[in-house]
Amino acid sequence: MSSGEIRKELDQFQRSVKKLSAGVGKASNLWQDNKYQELSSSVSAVANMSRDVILSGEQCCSSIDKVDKIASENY
Amino acid sequence: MGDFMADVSVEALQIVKQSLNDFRTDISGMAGRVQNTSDQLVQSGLSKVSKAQSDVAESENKINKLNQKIETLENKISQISAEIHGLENSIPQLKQRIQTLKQQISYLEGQISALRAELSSTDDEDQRSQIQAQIDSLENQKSQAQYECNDTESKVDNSEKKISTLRQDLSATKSEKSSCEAELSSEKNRCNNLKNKLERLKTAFKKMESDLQNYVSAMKRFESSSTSETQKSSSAVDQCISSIEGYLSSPL
Repeated sequence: MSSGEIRKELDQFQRSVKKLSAGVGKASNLWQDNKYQELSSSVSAVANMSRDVILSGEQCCSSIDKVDKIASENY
Repeated sequence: MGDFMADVSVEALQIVKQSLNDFRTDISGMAGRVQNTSDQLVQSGLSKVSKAQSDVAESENKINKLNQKIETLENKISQISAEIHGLENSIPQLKQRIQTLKQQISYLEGQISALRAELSSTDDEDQRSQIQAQIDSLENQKSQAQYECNDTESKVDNSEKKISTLRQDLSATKSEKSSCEAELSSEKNRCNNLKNKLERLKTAFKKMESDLQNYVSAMKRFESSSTSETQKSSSAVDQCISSIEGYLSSPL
């Protein structure tokens, strides 16, 4: 068990958030009023919230790698 | 978003709706999966800490055994040295005894020789008989002295051989002790490294555990907030689609 599992989860997570932003962005040419701005803000809020997950996930990967590195020391 | 929106097409709303639904599907259960991964990582980390602890215990056990072995070898060295010392001290006494016995034998041989000369020049039977008895007694004494002398020489010889064997044994034991001391020094150094590794591993594990908790909490918060956010948007989009479709299907 290594940080690779978390990295996979984070990649999948980031892809999902990007896919949402891209999907909503694709509709911007076909939807040009204030309601779209509300929706776009809502999606931006989701993207911002995702930063906490990504940062804490990356922090985890770093901690897991450190544990693995120490555990692999041979004496 | 509940109001009718004039500047939007059904196609745009369907794209958005599909994106929101896909996102909800992707994110749904992610916190649970992350929690599961986190639990497995914590278990894996605990196993690593446990392995490091057992490595330290094994090394400490090896150090104890080496200390005991060195103590045993030191006792053996003292015992062999004392035995060599005892034998070395006994040899001069034995050699002195041999010297005394040889002098005694020489003296007896002289006495016997004189008595034999006396015997050859005596015709009197009684006197001859007395002289012969004295010769027999002295021969007997000489024989006993010779026996003791041979026995003592054998003891000296055996002691010297024993000393030689003991010195070889002493040298081998000292060499073994030096080897154990070198191994002990190396093992102590290894044990310190293992203890240092264990402490660093425990600290790193606590940090990892705490970071995993933060990650799981962040994912739970995200799943809960984003699901509710996308649910709201999706419902609003549904209403828009429904309004537009109603508008388009109404007669002009």
